[in-house]
Amino acid sequence: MEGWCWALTLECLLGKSLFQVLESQSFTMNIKKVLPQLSVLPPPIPPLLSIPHRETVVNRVMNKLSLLHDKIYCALSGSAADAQTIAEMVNYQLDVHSIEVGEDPQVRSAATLVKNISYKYKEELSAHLIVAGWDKRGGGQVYVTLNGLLSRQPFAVGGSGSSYVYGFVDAEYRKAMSKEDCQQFVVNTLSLAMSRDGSSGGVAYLVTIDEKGAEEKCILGNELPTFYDQ
Amino acid sequence: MERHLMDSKIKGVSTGTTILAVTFNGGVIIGSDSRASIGGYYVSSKTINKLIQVHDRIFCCIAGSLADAQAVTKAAKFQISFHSIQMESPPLVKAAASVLKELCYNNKEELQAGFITAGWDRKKGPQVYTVALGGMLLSQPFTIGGSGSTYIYGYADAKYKPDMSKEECLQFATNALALAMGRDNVSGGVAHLVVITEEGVEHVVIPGDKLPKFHDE
Repeated sequence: MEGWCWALTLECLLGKSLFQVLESQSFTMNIKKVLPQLSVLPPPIPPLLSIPHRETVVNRVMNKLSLLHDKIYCALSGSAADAQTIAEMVNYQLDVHSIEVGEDPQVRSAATLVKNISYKYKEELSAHLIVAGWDKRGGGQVYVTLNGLLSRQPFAVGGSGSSYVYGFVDAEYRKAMSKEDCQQFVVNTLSLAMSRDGSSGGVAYLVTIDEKGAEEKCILGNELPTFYDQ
Repeated sequence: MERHLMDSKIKGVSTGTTILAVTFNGGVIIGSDSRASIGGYYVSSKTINKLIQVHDRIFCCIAGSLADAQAVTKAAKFQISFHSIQMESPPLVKAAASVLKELCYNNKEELQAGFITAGWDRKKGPQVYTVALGGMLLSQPFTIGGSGSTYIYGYADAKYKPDMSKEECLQFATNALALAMGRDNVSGGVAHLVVITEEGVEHVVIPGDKLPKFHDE
């Protein structure tokens, strides 16, 4: 059984611009599939072992946020190979599409492309991508594409660790948060999920997308917020 | 989205459920939802009470197969009252939890039920014990259980503070139950809460429409 990773995407509206924050963490994988090691700062926390399924942590600092276009990112979860492949295919298709229309693609177009692949190959693939970005027509948007469904939401959570934080995000999400509040909300959510889910951990990646562009940030494990029992 | 159906293998009526118990300054609150379902498709009861009183100041709540849980709690209730007569004093919460643990551990192949025991006794004050599916006994300041509990781990970790007041604790427990019931399809109905202190036991029932609402409701 493949490991799952966790991703949170949410959209905060502040006037006309959109802030969108995505995160990701390292995840556990079957040793049959090996991910290329990424060169990032080594996290100062010990590696994770997912005990119940006897899986191995292949990469504890994998960046699960993939670029689809300048202001459109997607968050990967599920089978890493499937998710990366879908992201690459959509990246190419979006480039072609944006040349054809002569301007930056809409977030909805990117999400539709992802959805089409997920739906067509529903039986073979097991990956879930959350697509999020900013475009001038709709501002910031978040789309979920689980199993071939396309749905726009104010925020979305996915991956194995997401089950543990549904309650927290339901309680704490507010409409029209500021950029800093939004980032804090996302980092808190990630930290809670990472502390409970055996397959999530390592570092947290955040991408904030607004009218001006996309800003990537990596928060190390020991800099994440801690809660009651930590 | 993706999650494991914890109760899908239980035959018959199960209490796919959300249960929790939280200690506060001077007492403990134990709470649960009120839905019983079969296979996650049919709600067989909207208003069952999953909080069973095993002694004057000791309650336990059940998760898992309803039949197993009722059989075990009936046996436990008898053993605890017998024990308290022998000791000539009210039983310790730990003793009640141990009785449940023995029953769960010795019958672990046949049973499919987990328990949370909470109460107040003179020796250690308010306490919460969980007995997991295989018979492990653990004491914690607060604990959540049942299928709906997966959704509120994050919320409970973030919001629990030691030494809360009774009102803060009630609010925390109500919010946690409401959030879990909102996401778990096999938890729902009304929220039952029991507040146990040295003075006595107070049963609070919050109907579904009076539960706190969150952003998308």
